[in-house]
Amino acid sequence: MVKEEKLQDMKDETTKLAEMASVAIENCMKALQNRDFELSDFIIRNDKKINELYMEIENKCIYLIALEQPVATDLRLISSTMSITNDLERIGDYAVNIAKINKRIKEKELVKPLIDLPRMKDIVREEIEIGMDFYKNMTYSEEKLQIDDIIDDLNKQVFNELVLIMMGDPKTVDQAGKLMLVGRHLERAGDHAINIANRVNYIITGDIRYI
Amino acid sequence: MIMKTKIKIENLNLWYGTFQALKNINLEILEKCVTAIIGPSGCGKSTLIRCLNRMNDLIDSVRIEGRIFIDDVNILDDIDVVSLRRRVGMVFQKPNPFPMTVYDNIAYGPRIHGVKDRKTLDKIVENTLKESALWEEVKDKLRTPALDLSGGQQQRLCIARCLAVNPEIILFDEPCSALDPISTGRIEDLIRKLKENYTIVIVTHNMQQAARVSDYTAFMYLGEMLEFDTTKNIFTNPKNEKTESYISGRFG
Repeated sequence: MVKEEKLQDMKDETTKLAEMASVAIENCMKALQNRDFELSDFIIRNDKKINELYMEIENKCIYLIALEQPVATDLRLISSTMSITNDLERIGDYAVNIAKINKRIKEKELVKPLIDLPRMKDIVREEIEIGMDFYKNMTYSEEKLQIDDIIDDLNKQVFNELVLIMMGDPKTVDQAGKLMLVGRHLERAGDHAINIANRVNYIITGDIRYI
Repeated sequence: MIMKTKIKIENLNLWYGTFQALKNINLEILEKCVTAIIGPSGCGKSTLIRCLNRMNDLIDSVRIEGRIFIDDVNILDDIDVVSLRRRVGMVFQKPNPFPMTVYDNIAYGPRIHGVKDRKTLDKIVENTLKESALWEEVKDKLRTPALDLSGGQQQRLCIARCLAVNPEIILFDEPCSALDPISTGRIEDLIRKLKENYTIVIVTHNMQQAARVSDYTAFMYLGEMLEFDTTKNIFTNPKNEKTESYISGRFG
């Protein structure tokens, strides 16, 4: 039997990783909106810490499996934690991608005011929070995950809008293309957050179809 | 934290007649840690821990070479074996309580070492039974025969008996192989607790048990010590191919 405090420690570390990933998403969009290159640099540097914590948790999971022989729910929790931390680490990477895009756009004025992209960012953070709330309390509700449809809709909207801007002025193509990528990265980050929630459903039910 | 070496084994060789059971063993066992010795049957693990309290002296055909230091004293020299065995207690595979009451089983050792005062003995019995997590179950049965207890309780009684003479090191030779999973769990919890005060060496066939309770693990094969490392490393990334095969269940 795996000692409860060891599982709790693993869950606490994962929660910490989720907070770091969520803050990175917040900051990368703040940097883009405020054209703050220092903040972008900070996100890129800070990603190292996210990666280190991710590896540390992965290592702890390996030790738990090798030394404590978890079975049933404990085993699903530990193996799923390895996937969840992987999702969180990827979310951190998307924040880095967006931070780099901000730097590549340089000092140029943005081709459009950012409205839908920050809304997408807010939903990504909400999805992370929902997923981690499920993970901490071992609960699941499919209803709450429907907000992901909003991200998809917003992403399409941003895409279409940017296409129109490109058509209107070929000089905007480079930057508009980059902003499309920002939308794409946020949409993917949201998918990873949804994965977390679905993993929890698997931990609870043991039904592999949920992952 | 700097750990102190409690037991240092140097170039230890042991023969039963002409058969060499231990081949040039070198090992350092740290104080207040649990060190597990694993390996297939006949690899010499029990022989090795029996060297640590000179139990092999009881076998005529045994010849030993090398040195074993406990706190810098070579115990293979001409030393007082009785006092060595007080310092180095042992718990065996099958619970072996004496055919006397629960109380007398524990008081036996202290009495031999000269404790006569009734109140002192009462205190020792109570403290060691508490330390071995048995007190709550037997406090009203101190005058019943020890052999009436369940197997798991008998084993914890044997641990209590061992603690009663204030040892520094406790050797466990397959302490759970005759017990059910619940009793095994209790003994494992106890071992983890005891390491706060004692240096523990455990020989076990049960690799999962070694993984669960120990800080360091030594793997023995055909009388040789093939690998010694932290339990984490042995069970996640062993360096020796034979260790990997053994812990993965490919042989043994």
